[in-house]
Amino acid sequence: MSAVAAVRLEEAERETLRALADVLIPGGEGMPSASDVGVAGKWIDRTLGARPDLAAPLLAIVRSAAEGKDPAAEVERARGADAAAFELFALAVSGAYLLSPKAKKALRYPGPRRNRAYPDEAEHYLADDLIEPVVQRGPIYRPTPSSNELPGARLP
Amino acid sequence: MSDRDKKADVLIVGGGTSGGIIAKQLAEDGFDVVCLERGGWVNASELPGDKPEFELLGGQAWHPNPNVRGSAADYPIEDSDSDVDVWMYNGVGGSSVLYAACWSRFLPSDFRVRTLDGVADDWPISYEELLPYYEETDVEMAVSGRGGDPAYPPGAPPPLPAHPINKTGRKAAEGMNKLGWHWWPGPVSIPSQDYGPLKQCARLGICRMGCPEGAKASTDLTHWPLALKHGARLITNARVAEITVDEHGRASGAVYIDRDGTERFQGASIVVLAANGVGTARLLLMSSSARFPDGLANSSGLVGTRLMLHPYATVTGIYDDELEDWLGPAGQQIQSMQFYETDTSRDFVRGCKWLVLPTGGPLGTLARYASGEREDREIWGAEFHRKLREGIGHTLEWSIIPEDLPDEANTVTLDPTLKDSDGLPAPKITYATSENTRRMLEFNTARAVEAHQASGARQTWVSGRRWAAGHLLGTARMGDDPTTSVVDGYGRAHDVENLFIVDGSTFVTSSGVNPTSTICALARRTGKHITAGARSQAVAA
Repeated sequence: MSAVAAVRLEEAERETLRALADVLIPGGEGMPSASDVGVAGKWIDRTLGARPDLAAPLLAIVRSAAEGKDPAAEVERARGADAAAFELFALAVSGAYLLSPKAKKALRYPGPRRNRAYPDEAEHYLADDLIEPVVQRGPIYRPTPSSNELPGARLP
Repeated sequence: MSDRDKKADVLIVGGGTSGGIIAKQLAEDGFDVVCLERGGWVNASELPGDKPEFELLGGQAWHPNPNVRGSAADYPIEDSDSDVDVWMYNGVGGSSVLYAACWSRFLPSDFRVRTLDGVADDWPISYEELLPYYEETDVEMAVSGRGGDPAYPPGAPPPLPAHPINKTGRKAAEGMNKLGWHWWPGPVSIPSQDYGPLKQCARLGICRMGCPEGAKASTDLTHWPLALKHGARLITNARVAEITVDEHGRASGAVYIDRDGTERFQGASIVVLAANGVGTARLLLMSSSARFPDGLANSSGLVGTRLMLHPYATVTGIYDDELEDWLGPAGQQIQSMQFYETDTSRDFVRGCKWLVLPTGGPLGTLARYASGEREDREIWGAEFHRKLREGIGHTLEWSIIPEDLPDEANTVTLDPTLKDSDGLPAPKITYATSENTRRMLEFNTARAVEAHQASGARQTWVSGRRWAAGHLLGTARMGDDPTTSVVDGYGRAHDVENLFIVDGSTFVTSSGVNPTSTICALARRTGKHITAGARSQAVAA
């Protein structure tokens, strides 16, 4: 899907978002930061294309972040002012970050991919008689007055 | 009169899971079938599961909660007096489009809880009576699984072989074996091989958002094409406002609003409701008349009461092992009935099914950390990467379904003010989790923590407790006594002899398993009963 966001951020708003997003998702330990993967560019556009409901809370926090102020302080202020709105803002940022192939690769997360089972794969995972103890314990269902009506019934 | 308005032999309200089952069967048996479905067809190319934005889309446009989705096909649900959200999907295929396809049958004891445990009520039918219909619908719904589960009486194995239980299922099973607890590969209505119109599962792991591969049994794929081939007429975007009755008190059809906003009438000799536990109760209550002042088929006063919702719990474990926890089907890898039955040493009656499902994507991983019962719930800043790296590929989750016992205080009623987009009353849910269910969840989540520890988890926590419910049951219960039930053992309304109900609203008790297998078996049984009794069936004038 490559839905285009109905709401497009101005360049100044992207600049603010870039700084705020790096507070939520800083780089380090081999992982790219939000700005490293370009969250404030096409990924936020795609996020808002998929989730237009996130545009208003995102823009509200971006626009209220005072220019020149410490982004970390602005994030804390937004979080303290309205936790529910902050969660939506943070969802937009993290959703955009996790659309990035660079981020997914660093996380070693492949995303949904076609991976049909091969014919004897089911038995492979049951190797070493994994299921035998369950079978050996025998029936565990609770009989009812009509339980012996079934052919082959072996009551617990 | 246009062909569209021609009186039908059978009118089905709801083209979802049970509606599809009975429509196909009655059309094949030669009935002239018309179905009114409030939603439309699903276009597989629109489903989110094979798209990078799948988690974002699954959190809104394809969310299972209609209040979040806000689709034109949905009606709003007033749920401010409910402990849990109510999930459903409105459209051809109904909730089978979005379900996880976990295909567990009731256990025999589920039909006899009064006899065995002295609580709630026995069903008017038994497991043994329903078994042939379970086996027939297993074939229709492409059930894949392993026969011989000792938690169940003997019977035919599923028609398709089991899926791999994957690394997650094996890891969970190893712990269960250490504890001597039951587990079994989980049956699912997801084909492990190409099967009729369905493809072999591609294990995308996104079943709960709809399958873009056409590899999950939903009745828009498995049943409706065959029903239409046999002459059934399916009218989509048809919002039913009322079931009408004739001068003899028999159901005569339905008034509905079509896609253009025009009010229309569809007549029928027999009417079948298949709108599930919220929709069917809503429709019966909307169909009051001078003859039925408290709602149609409601002389017992029980329509809309005894709502059961299965408030789930989840218990998460983090492992050092690489578990590929995103791998489908989702779908269940394994299930356990170890704590399903009543144990008199515990402080509750009845029990729970456990199941292991894939854990989804990274946004879901973050949510588990942020909203779970754990001290460290910070996920931003340095914790973002630490927790994602720790969790992705290393998470195993036990989901727990508690048996919710019926309570007449838990209800679906008509909200006095909230309306849908056609001006029809929205349903209001009043639901409180019982003390028995709370204790049941407390016990079972504690055991699931132990199961994780036995499997080698390095941390474990309760990641969800009493969260949303897509199992909408009990609001038009079946029974032999018309004063204490709405329909008989075949789903026929006691008060209206040509009105049948074939969805989860007829459940006497909820069991502790996913209900769709039982809903489908009951629908097929009712359909067969209608066919067998057609010559003597009283019909509308």
